[in-house]
Amino acid sequence: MFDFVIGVLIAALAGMGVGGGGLLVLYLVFIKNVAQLEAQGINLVFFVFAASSSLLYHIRKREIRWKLAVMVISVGVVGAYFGAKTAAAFDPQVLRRLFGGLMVLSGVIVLLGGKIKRIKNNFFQKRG
Amino acid sequence: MSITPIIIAGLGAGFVNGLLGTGGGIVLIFALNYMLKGEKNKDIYAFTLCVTLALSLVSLFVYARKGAVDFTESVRYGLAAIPGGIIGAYLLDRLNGKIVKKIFAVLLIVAGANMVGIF
Repeated sequence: MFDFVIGVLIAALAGMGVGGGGLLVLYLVFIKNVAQLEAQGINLVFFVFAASSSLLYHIRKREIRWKLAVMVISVGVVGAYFGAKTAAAFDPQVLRRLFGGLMVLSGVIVLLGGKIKRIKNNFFQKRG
Repeated sequence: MSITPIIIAGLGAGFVNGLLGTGGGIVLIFALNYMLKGEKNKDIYAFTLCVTLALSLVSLFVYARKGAVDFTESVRYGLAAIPGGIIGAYLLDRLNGKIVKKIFAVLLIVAGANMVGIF
């Protein structure tokens, strides 16, 4: 029951743009002692459910470029297939480290958010 | 729009999604902000959600074949995600999550550093 509440909480935060995909994996790995790959697997299912319900809400209000989406997805699924196979082939410790790296990167990006925008704007203005 | 960034963005986002079970969105958002200057952030977000949903299904397929998906646990969290996702999407339009985002960003960095082995 507690897990369910945590699930709702994490999904709500993700829906608000807070935390994203990492939070559930962190909960599973640190608190529930689930193995890294399995935690990622659970997270994928979680995300599919969360994204589907979120998307139903967004689809009415946002403008999604469907043609571009299809193009990116067509290429992306190839990447996903090989990424997943690689994950299964990796040593769990290595995977954990990579995941940790992604978490650090995500956190840093959020904290530096405003500054990144300013750097980007300056960069693109100079290139004209 | 040239096709190369699309291919790179797609492959990159897909690979990260498969490798780490998440994170494809970050790759996509960076790539899209570059490719689609001037589009509304929320539209880009919805686009990314749509694409990563599709990518996650493929990743999931491979994970399941490798026996890495505990379906009982997954469904429990998955069902929790439905009301959660709706609540979150609703709040996205109405709340300013800046402080919450920063708090969780710090959490991510600390947890991530631990996983990397820094401490």
